[in-house]
Amino acid sequence: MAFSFTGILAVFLELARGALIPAAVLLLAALGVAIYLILRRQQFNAGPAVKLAGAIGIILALLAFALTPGFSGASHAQVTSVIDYTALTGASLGFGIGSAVVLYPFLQLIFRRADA
Amino acid sequence: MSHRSDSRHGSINPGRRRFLQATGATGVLAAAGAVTGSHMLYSSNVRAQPSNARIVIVGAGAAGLSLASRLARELDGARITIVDPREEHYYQPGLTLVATGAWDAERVIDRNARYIPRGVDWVRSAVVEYDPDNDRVVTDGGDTLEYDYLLVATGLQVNFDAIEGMEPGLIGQEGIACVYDNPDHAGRSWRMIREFTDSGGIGLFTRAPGAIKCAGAPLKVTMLSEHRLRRQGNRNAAELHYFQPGDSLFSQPDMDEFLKRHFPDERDINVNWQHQLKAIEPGARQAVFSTDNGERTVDYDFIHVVPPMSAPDPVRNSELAWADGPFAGWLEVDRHTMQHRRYPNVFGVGDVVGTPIGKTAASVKAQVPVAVDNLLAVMQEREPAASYNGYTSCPLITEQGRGILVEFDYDLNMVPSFDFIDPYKEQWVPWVMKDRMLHAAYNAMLRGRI
Repeated sequence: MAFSFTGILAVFLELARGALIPAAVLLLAALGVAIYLILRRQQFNAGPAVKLAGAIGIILALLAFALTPGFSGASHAQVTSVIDYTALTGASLGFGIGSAVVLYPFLQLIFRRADA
Repeated sequence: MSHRSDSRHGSINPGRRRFLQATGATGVLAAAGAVTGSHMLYSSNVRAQPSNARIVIVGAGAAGLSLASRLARELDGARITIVDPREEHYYQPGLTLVATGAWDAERVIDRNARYIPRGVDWVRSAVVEYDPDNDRVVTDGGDTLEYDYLLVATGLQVNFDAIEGMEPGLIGQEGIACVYDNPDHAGRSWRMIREFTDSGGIGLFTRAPGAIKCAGAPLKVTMLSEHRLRRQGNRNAAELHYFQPGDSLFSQPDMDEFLKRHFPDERDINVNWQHQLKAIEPGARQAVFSTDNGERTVDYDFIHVVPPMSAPDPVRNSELAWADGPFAGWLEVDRHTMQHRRYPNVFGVGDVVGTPIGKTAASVKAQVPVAVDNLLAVMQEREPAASYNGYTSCPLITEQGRGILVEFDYDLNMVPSFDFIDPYKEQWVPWVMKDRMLHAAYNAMLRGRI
């Protein structure tokens, strides 16, 4: 049975239905911070924020990799095939990258130059 | 010269450029998600077909709600009525997980009101009589509903009384379990399975003859119970026997072959062929089976009872049912168009239909778009052209944490939705799909999104 792109999106939206409003608030807040920083036209010292966001993303990805089988009611011993590891790795990376991207504007706000 | 002055003149330093790229990407993704997402959550069809037809949908289960959602979107002006007395909606594919302790019962309980689309009338009654010659149905409240088009999506009935000595109140007592019908049964079954797997003993796992909903469920309950015995360290304290009325465990031949090896060789489950549960004596904890060699009485500490199933009595006793043949008593539809074979303004979807395979939610997902397309065609006086190929799916959970995603059609050929998931191998991904994804897919189906 073929699944269309919109069908898959509909499934993910149903999966996240309970968390959509908090997620939207978080994303809007991140966008708001980003727009604020852009409009202020201040200097950016992006290095520390990027590094910290990246580090947090990596840590969260590793945690996701370690904990996801348990959250699913399974154990790592049951993650055995290539597709199992591909799915686990992909989901963990996605979670880590997503977290880093969302965190980045807030970290950039914290790390903006003192003289900005 | 400060960096600030550079910024005022519009130059962008590398740090800011990276920042803009990152936030820009986030913004585009968020905007795309918001636009598409809002469309997926709430939308109307600007190309809806004008109609003043009276459409009655009997049943607000998976099939009925999916039909209502799609028709409400596809038709403008039609009077759509859904008839079902139940306020609660059960996610039945989750009942095996409730009965084996992986899920709480609350997780499968929802409300029909959440899924009935705006503009659809909901009659909270049960249909007790079908009168297709006069295009009307009669409810248990005594109301007569006339229709131009009828969609039968009642599901099926579980006939506990077909087993002597058995009644639903026994589930959860005297070692008796039955995963079918509702979360209460599944929850009470879990108490019995937990008791059995904590202490061991003789476990009997039965399967009714004929068509049953989610025919993989008896197998899954058996394998998940066996797995829990191992996890509890009690496998050596238990004897497991599976009783099959026929001579195959699964309709799809590759899977049948796999299970015929897997049960005895890898799970130490003794398979008894040509055994049909005839009677149960709860006090004595004995089960009586009809076999080719007469009756056989077996002692048990735990038994999973799977009663025979049929179309609901009002369908079975109506002109809409097959009069004879292998599907006698089930709704007489064309297996490809889902249109009734004698009443062209009647369609059927879901467990109630008399087709060779497919009493699963996955089948409903495949049948509903076909039935809706063909109904719209009939309303426009066109030939129904959409065709259902018998698609059905069973995430065959072999243990908590692993399963096999089995999908096949009328020809019993494997038709995997995702080529990268091996349909012949136990893996974690099918378990995750069953545990996390399929309920979301089911809800999307109820809303007519997939």
